[in-house]
Order: sequence, then structure tokens, then C-alpha cells
Amino acid sequence: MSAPIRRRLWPALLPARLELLLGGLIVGGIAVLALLAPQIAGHDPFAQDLTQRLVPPFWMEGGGTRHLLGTDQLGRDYLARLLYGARISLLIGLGTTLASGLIGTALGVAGGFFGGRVDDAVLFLITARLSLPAVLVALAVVGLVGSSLTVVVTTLGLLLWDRFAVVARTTTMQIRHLDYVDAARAAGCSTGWILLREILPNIAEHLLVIATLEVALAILLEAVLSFLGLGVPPPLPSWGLMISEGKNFMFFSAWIIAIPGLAMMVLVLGINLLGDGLRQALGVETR
Amino acid sequence: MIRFLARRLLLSLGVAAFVVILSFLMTRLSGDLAISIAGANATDADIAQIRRAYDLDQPLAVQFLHWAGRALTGDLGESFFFKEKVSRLIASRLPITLTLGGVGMAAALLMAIPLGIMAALHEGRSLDRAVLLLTTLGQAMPSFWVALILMIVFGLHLQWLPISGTGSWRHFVMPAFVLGFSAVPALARLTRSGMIRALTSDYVRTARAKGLSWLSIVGKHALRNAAIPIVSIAAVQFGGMLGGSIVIETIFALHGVGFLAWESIGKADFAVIQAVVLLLSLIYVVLTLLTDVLNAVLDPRLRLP
Amino acid sequence: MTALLDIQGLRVSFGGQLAAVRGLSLTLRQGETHCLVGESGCGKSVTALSILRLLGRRATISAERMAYRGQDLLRFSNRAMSRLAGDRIAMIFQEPMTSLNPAYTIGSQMAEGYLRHRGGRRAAALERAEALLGRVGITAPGLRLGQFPHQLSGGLRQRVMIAMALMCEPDLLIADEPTTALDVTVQAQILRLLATLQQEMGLSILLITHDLGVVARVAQRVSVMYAGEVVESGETAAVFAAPEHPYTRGLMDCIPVPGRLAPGEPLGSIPGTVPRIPPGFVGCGFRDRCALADPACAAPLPLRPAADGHLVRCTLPPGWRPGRPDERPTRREVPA
Repeated sequence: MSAPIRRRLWPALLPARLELLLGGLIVGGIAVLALLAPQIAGHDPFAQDLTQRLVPPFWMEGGGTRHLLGTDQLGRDYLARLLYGARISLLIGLGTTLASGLIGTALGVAGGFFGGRVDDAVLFLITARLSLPAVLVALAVVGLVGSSLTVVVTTLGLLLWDRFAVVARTTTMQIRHLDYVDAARAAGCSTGWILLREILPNIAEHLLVIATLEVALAILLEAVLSFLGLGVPPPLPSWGLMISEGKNFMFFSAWIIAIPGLAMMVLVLGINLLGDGLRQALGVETR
Repeated sequence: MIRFLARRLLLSLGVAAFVVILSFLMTRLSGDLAISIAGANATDADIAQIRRAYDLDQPLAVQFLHWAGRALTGDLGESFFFKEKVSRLIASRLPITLTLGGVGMAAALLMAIPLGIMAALHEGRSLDRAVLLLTTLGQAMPSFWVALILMIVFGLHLQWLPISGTGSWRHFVMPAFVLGFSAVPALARLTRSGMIRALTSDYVRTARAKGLSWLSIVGKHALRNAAIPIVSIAAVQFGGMLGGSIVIETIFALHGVGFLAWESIGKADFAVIQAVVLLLSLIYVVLTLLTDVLNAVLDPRLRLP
Repeated sequence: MTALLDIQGLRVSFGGQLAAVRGLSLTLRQGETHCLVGESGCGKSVTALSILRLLGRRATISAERMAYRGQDLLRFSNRAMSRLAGDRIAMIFQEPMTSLNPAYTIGSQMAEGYLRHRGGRRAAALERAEALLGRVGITAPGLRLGQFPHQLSGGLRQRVMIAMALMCEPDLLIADEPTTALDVTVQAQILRLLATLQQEMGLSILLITHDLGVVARVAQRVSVMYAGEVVESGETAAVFAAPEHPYTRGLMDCIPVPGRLAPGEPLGSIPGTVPRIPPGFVGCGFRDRCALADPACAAPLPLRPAADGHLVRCTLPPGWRPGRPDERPTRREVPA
């Protein structure tokens, strides 16, 4: 067939620029709001006021401007909790991805570069990790060790490195025999130098795209953990925890779970758009 | 081919063993288990007794070997919370989880495959974009949140479906839908790209040149080839669903294995936790082996020459 | 002889950007093999694919006339077209390796077209398939029915494609470079097979190729195509004996023939490459590569009779003959 059309097998919702812009705006906006939370919240997210329990948001009947998004079952200002919750989500997302990225990249590059037994070991580890029911393991660890921000980040970081490892390994394998690597070796460069200066920069694009996916995944997972009571401990305003605490009242005040859920959806959407835009812009193909 | 399968089996068993050891170590993470088991009002004598009863005074390696030895004969220990044999506990809960997973997978495929085919047939045009928008939004929604929203809408306002328990088939509708919903975006995109690849292939061009009907071309020729990667991914997703069922089961109060695991974590019932992790890992291992077989069934090129 | 396929003024463009075919006319008579020959990119495959509407959504097809047995194919609904395809008009393609569905057996793929157009029992269709496989020279045809495409070699697969195309006894077989992807020895076999089948079954064949050797071997008539239009056409013997279009002459010169050139003499070649024609382009597409071009070539040119009656599209006078192959005559040195 001679029709000269480049067919993109990977779907693109919007052109790269638009996705980057939209995603960047959303994520950036939320990040700014999170950073400025103390300034703009107007209330202490931990301050309880039992006389002001379950006040609805201002657009509903019974709501007012004192608590723009209402209050939860302990009278804590919902807007403040939402904003501080954004901090937690972003922190966990970034922290986990940093940790899992380091582990996964190290493993993947090692396996892809050295091959042989090292690669066998890496593949074994990846398969083992994939066989673990991640949610269950994370829950069990947090349940047994005790819940805190650090524990959650560490546990998720130790669990979510598989995609990094797979992609790092495949891309390393693709470039390890290319000319410039051989040239560096011939010039006498040490393995470490080659890994750092030749391999890493060239797989960085793929890793960046994976990283955005992983941040979103980490945020969603933390929400699940907190929702089940085995994530970030109360009274920290994790969005998952807010939904969990709110579900006892959701039949009468649906907004109490709708708001943090929507916030999470918007954040994850923004991250996914950013990642997709990056993928298009960098021309990276990942499965 | 036999040799290949044997090697895969060996590798899978090795992985399973590794996972089991990991989970064993994991349950010992929380320090002195005997204290957690004994509870707040235990005396030192109680704790010492528990320690002896559960092998907790032995070195880790010995503990593991004892446990492994018993596990191989099917004895997974006893849950000190439920006061029942773990194997029996799991056996009684497993059908619910498997049903949930099965129906959830069916729901996912029923939603994802038509969406993917539609998107592929209208590639680049508005229907395609609509499907992409749908999947993008779907990926951003946490499943437990979707479950809650559905409960409010269908359980409370519309009163169409029950929101907890396992009385009838109706009780499985919402949970299965939510479980399947999380797998739809990935499966739909996979279907879409597979179908596009198939529809632009040479053999579909031949089918058109033979004057075959649209249904035959799309449903028989294209879909069959597009299905091959879908099946592999679906199998893996199924494994993930079984693991992730813990959330759905707790929300909808379905007494499956996931719910059991959650309760056990709360009670530090490590015998159960270990057994559940072992079970899920074994299921995953079996699933991946099955996908190899399934692939050979679907793609004649992979069969014995 | 009745015209089985009559194409006049076919135009095919893609997305308004690329004019792949610009006013092609071709007439195929019953019982004959007509070759459409040209380099890659000249539009010959696009022409072939446009007959059965296999070009996809982005192609725009128009013609003064595209008639099969007098019926205007452009007016056919998609449904009517799918009834015609595989039944009266069959097509085989260049890549036998990928033109068969890897997931289904040979037998089932051969039978499905027959069942669709003729109905009846599956067993009867498979019997016919087996017979045809034997007819195209495949040994153990019964065994082959149950095999999968990947179990067959390229040459065998192409034979299967031919047999499959013949299941409904079509009047016309369109063969798009059927031998290009095959070994030379297999090529000869396939061509011989096609010639035999044509004689035995009264098949008419439209054969697309870039290889003049193939043309010489099997074609009664030939159309030489360049940059989206036919530049010379007629009976093969006539066109080969006295080609008048500089492109055709160039193609012939490219073929090494023992004895024609003295040792050490350079083999002919045509400078430049096949151009991509933008829409709105008018005149001879070869003029930028032609040593004999002049301003008249930029105007629309009709096909006109050559000295011996075959058709050519060129401003050079009929009966024009160049000097030695390595001489590049300047314009109008030509004897009247």
C-alpha cells in the first residue's frame, strides 16, 4: 500500500503541546497551592470545632463563607485539609518515585548492561516482585510496622520499582552495543564512567516518562492504603483518609467524599497528561 | 518446547519460593509477635506460652522450615484469631474472591474490547477521541472512590442494587463493575492498537480483496490477531484484580480472601497473612504459565513445529 | 474482443497532497495478459488497488470511466463491490509472507471466500480448495489444507494465494507484483503457472510489475507507466520493438542484453529519480529527466498513435529514432 501516512499506534488524546500545557498547569497549580497552603488555607487543618461539624460547602444550603468547603465530622475546615492533603499526596508521589526510580534504574541498568548472570538475577527479582500482590504486601508491612509517612514512602518505594527496572533494562540493552559505547570503552573509560555518562543520559527520556506514570500510581496507592486505615496515620489529612473518614457520612453529605475524590482525580489526570505530553514530545514508545 | 516450559516452571517455582520467604520475613518485621498476639493484658507467662506454641522462640530459619514443611502437606497453620485452620478459612473465602475476580474480568473485557474496536474503526475521528478521553478520565479515578459514588447513586438514590453482603447475584454487580473498571483503560488501549495494526495488515487487505463481509473481516480476521496480546495482559490484570480485591471486598463487605487478609493484618494474624500472600503469588505464577499456553493456542506460529 | 476492464482517466490522490495517479487509461481485453509496468512510485500499485477499492479512507478516487463488463465500478455500493471482489475479480499481492492470516489454516482461508460467494457446504469448498492447490502445482494438497501459512515457503504461499484467488473462477485476476518478493527460479515457475492457468481457464490477467523481463515473458499487451500516467502502451511485441517514449527507451537501455553493447561500454541509465507529483501538475512527468524535453512538454499531452499504431504520450514525432545509445541528440536533430 502506498499511502504515505505515518500511523501512530499509541493513541494521543491531544497534541503534545496542549497536553504538556494542560498537565503542567494542573500539576503546577496544585503544587503552588500545596506550597502556599499555610498562607491560603485560612484555618488550621487539625483544629477541631465540634460545634461546626459537617458544615456543607458554600454552594450548598447551610454553607457559608467561613468554611468555604465546609467542615468534616470533627469540625475541621475542609479546604485547609484539602490543601494540606495535596502536600501529602505530592510528597508521597515524589518521594516514592525517587526511591523506586533509584532502585529500579540501578537494577535495570545493571541487568541490561552486564547481561549474563547479573541479568538473570535482575529478571528473577523483577518476576518475584511482579508475583507479589503489591497492595497486600504494602498493607501488611504498614500494619505490622506501624503507619507513618516515612513507612509508607519506604514501603511503596521498595515495591514500585518494577516498571523502572523493565524499561531501564530494555533501553540499556538497546544501546549498550552502539558505537559510542564501544568507543568509550576503547578509549579506556571505566565502566562506572560509561554507565554514568553514556548510558544514563540516553535512557533518561524513557525514565522520565515512566516516572510520571509512577508518581500517579504512587499517589493512588497511598490513597488506597490510607483509605483502608493502613497508610498515612490520622490526623494527617491524606485525601484517602479523608474519604475513609467521610464514608460514614456520605449518604447524607455526599460532598464529603466527592471533594477529595475529585481533587485526586484532577491531580492524577494532570500528571497523566503531563506524562503523555512528554511521551509525545520526546517521541518515546513505551508499552 | 517442553524444555522451555520446564524451565519456566522451575523459574516460577523459584520465584514463588522467594516470595514466600519474603512474606515470612515480612510478618516477622513487627518485632515481637508474641506480644502482639497475646494482647494488652497478657502476663509474661502467657507470652512465653504463645512463643512456644507458635515456634517463635526458634531461630528464623528453623521457623521457616517448619512452616514450609507443614505447608507442603497442606497445613498452613491455624489462625489464632478465628481459631480455625488457615487452609479451611481460605478455602471457604476463596470462591467469593474468585467469583468477584472472574465477573470483574468479564465485565472489564465486555467494556474494553468493544470500546477498543470502536476506537480503532474510527481512528483519528471523534469517536476515537471520545474513547480516549473516557479511558484517560477512568485511569485517574481511584477505584474505591468510584465504588463509593456508585454506592450512593445506585444503592441509596436509585435503590437498584444492594451495597453489602453476598446474598444474591445482585450483590456482585457493583463490586465486579468497579473491579473491572480499573482494568478497562489499559485493555481498551491495547485492543485499539492491536486492531489498528490488524486492520492495516496485508492479510486484512487480502480478506477485503476476497470480498468478505465487514463482520468477518473485523470479527474474525482482525480481532483474532489483535486478541493475542490482550489475552496475556488480561491474565496479568486478573492476577492484579485478585490482589486488589482487598479494597473492593472491604467496601462492599464481601467475605472473600481479600477481606480476610485485611482483617488478619489488623489482628497481626501472621499465619493467615503469610498463607494469603503465598496463595496469591502461586495464582500469579500459574496465570503467567497459563498465558504462555493460551498464546500458543491463539497464535499457531508459537506451537510445536 | 470485448473489453473486460476499461479504465479511462483514473485519478487517485491522497489527502489532497499527493497525486499518485493522474489520468490513467487502460483497457484489458478478455483472455489476455496486460502488464502495467513502471518504477517504484509511478502509481501502478495504487491503480491496481483502486479497482477493488482497497486503498483506504484517505484516498480520493475519480475517473471518467472505470468499467467492468460495461458496469461502472465507481457507482457500485460497497456491498456490491464486496460481492464482486473475490468472485468475478480476484487479486493477489506482492508479499506472500504477510498476505495470509497467520491464525487460520490454509484450507479455512481458501474456503471462506468460496462459501461467502457461492454458499454450500464447507466440505465441498475444501474439496475444491484441494483440487486447486493441486492445479497450481502444490504437492500433497490435502495435507496443506490443514497447515498454517508460517509452515510454507514464500513460493508455496504465493501459489496458495493464486489458488485462493481462483476459487470462484474469476474473470479477471489482478496480480500486483506477484513475483517481486520471490527467488528468481521461483519467479519463473510462478509466471509459467499464470500463463498456463490463463490458457486453461480463459483468465484475463492485469499484471503489475517493474520488471521488463516479466513483461516480455507473459504479456500480450503492455502499458508503461510513469509518474501517475501511462506514457506508452500497446502490444508487447510492438512496444518492445520500437519504443518511442524516451522513458521506455531508457528502461530498455537499462537491461543488459548480450551483444548489444561493446565490452566496456556503460550500461544505460536514466538520470534522476521518480518525482512526487503535487496536485495541479500538468504535462509530461518525465520532462525533468528527459534529455529531449522542450517547452511543449509542459502542456497536457494526449495519447497519440506511434509509427506502428501503438499509443504513446510524447511530443516527439512518430517514428523518431535516436542514434547510438550513448549519443544524446539535441532537440530537433531528429529526421522528420
